[in-house]
Amino acid sequence: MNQKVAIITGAARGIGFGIATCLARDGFQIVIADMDGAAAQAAADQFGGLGVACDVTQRAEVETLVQKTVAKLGRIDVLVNNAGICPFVDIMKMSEAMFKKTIDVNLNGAFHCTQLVAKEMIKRGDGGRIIFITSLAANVTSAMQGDYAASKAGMHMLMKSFAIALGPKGITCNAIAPGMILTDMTKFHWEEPENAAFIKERVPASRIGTPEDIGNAVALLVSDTASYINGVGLIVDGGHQAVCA
Amino acid sequence: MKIDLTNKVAVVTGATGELGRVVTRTLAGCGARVAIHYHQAADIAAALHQELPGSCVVQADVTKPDAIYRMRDEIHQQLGVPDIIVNNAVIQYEWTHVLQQSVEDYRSQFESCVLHNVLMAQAFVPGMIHKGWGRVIAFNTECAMQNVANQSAYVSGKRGMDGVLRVLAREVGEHGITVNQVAPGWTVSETRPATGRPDSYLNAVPLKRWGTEQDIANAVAFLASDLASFITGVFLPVCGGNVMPTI
Repeated sequence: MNQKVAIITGAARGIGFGIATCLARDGFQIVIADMDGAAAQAAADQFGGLGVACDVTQRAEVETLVQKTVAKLGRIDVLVNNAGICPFVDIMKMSEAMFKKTIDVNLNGAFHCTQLVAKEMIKRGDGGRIIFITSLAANVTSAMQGDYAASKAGMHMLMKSFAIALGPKGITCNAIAPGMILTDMTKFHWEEPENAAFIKERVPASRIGTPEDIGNAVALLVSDTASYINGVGLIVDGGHQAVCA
Repeated sequence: MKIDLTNKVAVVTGATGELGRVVTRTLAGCGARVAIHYHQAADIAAALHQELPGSCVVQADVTKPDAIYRMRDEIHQQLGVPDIIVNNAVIQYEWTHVLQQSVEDYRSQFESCVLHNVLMAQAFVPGMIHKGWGRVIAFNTECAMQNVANQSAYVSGKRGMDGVLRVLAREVGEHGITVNQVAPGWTVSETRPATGRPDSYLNAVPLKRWGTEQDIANAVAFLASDLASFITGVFLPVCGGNVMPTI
């Protein structure tokens, strides 16, 4: 019961799973929350953790996530708001329903999770760490990412508001803005020769990022060594923003 | 989290100051062999050297190219080619309004912030390119985002170095070299307690505590490690949320 507990949303695969891998390495008990409950448990099993089916847009499901975590593991020390969608549709052709869904998952979901987990952290009185996985798209966008960029910019400001509100309780809130990251979902895209060439040309580090690159940054910000870092957006993009901003 | 800098050689400029000493000890604690740079405080540098096996001591005026290159050669001889440079030294001066601040003060900040970083890069980054791995870490400040009265010379120097380092990040990334800045808030230490400082500062810090040099050094150690290999060109405030930049 003394082992610290981290909830990562949208973590059955991709960046979220990479974050879970790094936090498990650093000794955290892992809770994987995902829309796909079976996939969540399968992922959690790799760390001896807890998998919970959770649609972050449904506040009642988030409440259940918090209750199950506390009931089974006794505490919540870390929340990583990672669940998100990016439909990649031209903003002039996007339906209202699609726009609302992106905002609902990416922004409203982070609001529900943060508010409910923070209440539990405050109740326990031992501080905590909350991470928002945003995106370079919070700062640099395209016609294909209007919904996504708005949601991620919103997440960044939501993070700052929570950082101010929760700081006096010993809870830090920070964002990590990934650049281009190789996951199972994006692999087909980045393996195309012209896209691979784009990485070489536009990313100063001359490589695409990995989920573990993001996981290591999360590991820093949730550690005791980062206890004075609060309200920060840490870009993990191999220097890409330095080129495109 | 475990940060391992075994087999790395680091240079810390201004290593005899309060922050410099903590950074130096932290990097050494992670396994790095550290070149302890000083300008005038030879006694403090010698004591730190005694404390840290595998370190060496070097003296230089970091605003002078010849002195930097001499220092580099001495480090090469004693510890080998550095993997990590931490640009910490800065010239202290009396803060006042723009209308009263002397030209010499602006020059001192340009030289110790902008030129210092340029010269350190020119001296040490070629060796990192040869190795295909390197870390350039420099200290900026939360003041660069606050634009408070009386800080113009300091802020202009720090904003100038920000430009140099972001461009450098773009230029050297392909060689496995990252370039990042850590921006401390107002810290306390044994010799610089919070006594007498305005409540208004602490009231504005969401975490409601003063930072410590160790808080700052922890961020440096992370950025120096392999764990941060995809982080470059960033400005990382460590100030309890006193400033919250846009991404």
